[in-house]
Amino acid sequence: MAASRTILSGCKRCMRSWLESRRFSPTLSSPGVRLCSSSSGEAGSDPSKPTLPTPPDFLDPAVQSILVQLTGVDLEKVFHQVRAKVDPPTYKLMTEEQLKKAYDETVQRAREKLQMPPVLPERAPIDPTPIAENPELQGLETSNLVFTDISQNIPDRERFIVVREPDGVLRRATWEERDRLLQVYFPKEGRRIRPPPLFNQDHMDIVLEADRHVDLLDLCCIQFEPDSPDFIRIHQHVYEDVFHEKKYGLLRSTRHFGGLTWYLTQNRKVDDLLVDMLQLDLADDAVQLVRLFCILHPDSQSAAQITRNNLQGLDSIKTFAQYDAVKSGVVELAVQAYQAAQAGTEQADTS
Amino acid sequence: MAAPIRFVATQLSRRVYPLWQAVSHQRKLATQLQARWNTSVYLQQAQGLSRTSVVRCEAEEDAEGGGSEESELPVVTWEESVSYLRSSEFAERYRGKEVWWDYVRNHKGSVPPQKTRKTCIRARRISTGNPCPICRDQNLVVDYRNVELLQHFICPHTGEMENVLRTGVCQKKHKLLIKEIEKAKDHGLLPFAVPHKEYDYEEYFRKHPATATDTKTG
Repeated sequence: MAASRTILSGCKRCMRSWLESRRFSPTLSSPGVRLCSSSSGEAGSDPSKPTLPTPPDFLDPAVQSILVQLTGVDLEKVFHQVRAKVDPPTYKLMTEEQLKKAYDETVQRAREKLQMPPVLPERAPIDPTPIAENPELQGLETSNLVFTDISQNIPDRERFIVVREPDGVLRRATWEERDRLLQVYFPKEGRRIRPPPLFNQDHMDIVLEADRHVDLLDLCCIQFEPDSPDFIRIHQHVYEDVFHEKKYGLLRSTRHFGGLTWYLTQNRKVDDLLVDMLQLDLADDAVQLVRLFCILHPDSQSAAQITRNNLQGLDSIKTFAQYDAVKSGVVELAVQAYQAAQAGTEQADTS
Repeated sequence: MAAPIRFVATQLSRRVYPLWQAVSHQRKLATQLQARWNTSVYLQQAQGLSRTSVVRCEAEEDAEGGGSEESELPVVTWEESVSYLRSSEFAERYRGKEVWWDYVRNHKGSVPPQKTRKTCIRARRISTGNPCPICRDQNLVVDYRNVELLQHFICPHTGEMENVLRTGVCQKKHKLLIKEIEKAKDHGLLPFAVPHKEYDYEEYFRKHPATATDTKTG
């Protein structure tokens, strides 16, 4: 379904990083979109430059590879029993090779299911300047008339939808009008013409109390476009709830974990997530999270310390706890507890 | 599950002698019901009981009181229905099963009519001798906020509504159930499966005059 052509705006660093991403992470489901943001790059790549570059966007390959690793692939959770009409299971006799092949295909299908919804800035309003003004039409209609181009095989964002207002002005339709009318003429499965009351603040709180964060986010992805203000508002509300209630396990191994991690790292709220990872013995993930923090905040002290001393593993987490963590004590305690647990298991193994 | 299997077995056995079974079942129900319970119009008129003795699990005073001459159905709010569903009377009456588990339709022959009756209630009174599972218990109020009652009519495995021939509710209440279940899903009170959305990332970076923003006009 995704188009094969990619957009490359010609800058050499973009082209090089895109080619590297295709080579090193072929399992990434995104078809290698590259945006030439004015100065995208990793913090650690050019320590000699006096001015640090602006942090990369969500779809940068380095960021995506970290987020994919943090999300993980738990097949039991990705293919959990859905409360819908399903066929009875089929049983097959397989050789070892066939079984391995089937397993690899399943992992590939799971990665496709774990495709992350893009994190985009809020869309700018559509140009409201009139296309035409015909004052002779004033008073003939009592409401707006909307004209939609219903030719087949036109992408949603390239379809012309214009509105004739009662005072004779012909203008482009606003984003809300476009979403509504595209759903009328070209309905998408699961999407309503008008958003259900589920997405109001108090109804969302009822759903979140029942620990149905993933359901709510899936519904939001179906109903809204990724750059619409409602999509961003709902996702931020859910991420804040996950942060306050420390319910990281609900989103782990779902398509929304990447967005959650991105949001928390942008807003410097990663301490509890680090502690959660260390408590679940995911030390590699914790190290990658600290690395993501340094990529997104290249001007922070811990980023400078880590790159200068080339710290690896738990040392980078300790440096982060020392300089940039809001709850540094909690993070240090978690690191010590993890090290003690590791030492304990090693002693048990050797004895 | 044992409950549907037992129900199906009783249904099959009942189909053999439908008329006799229905009559004996009605007799059993009548003897089990106490004066406080809502009974059919026929029995009440025969025994001279008032219709307006409503089961209130917390024994609250209500404006209607008992002993009204009219035999109209009283109005129960959805909050009272919610508390009734959690009460001991409900547990005793329905024994932890669905509210329609013991309901048997009366019809000629082995195959029931493929549509249940249009309505049990006409002019605010029960107008049939064997009202459907919702109409026979006035404390069951179909409302989108009364999620526990709605769950009785949703299959726990597929998430779809139970077949009306199985539950036996009248058509009017069936349509009301469909409407309220849909409303509960809209308000986030009932979960439902959502299709998977696949993203084409490039779509969000192409520019086109149809969706030109302010900055592009310069």
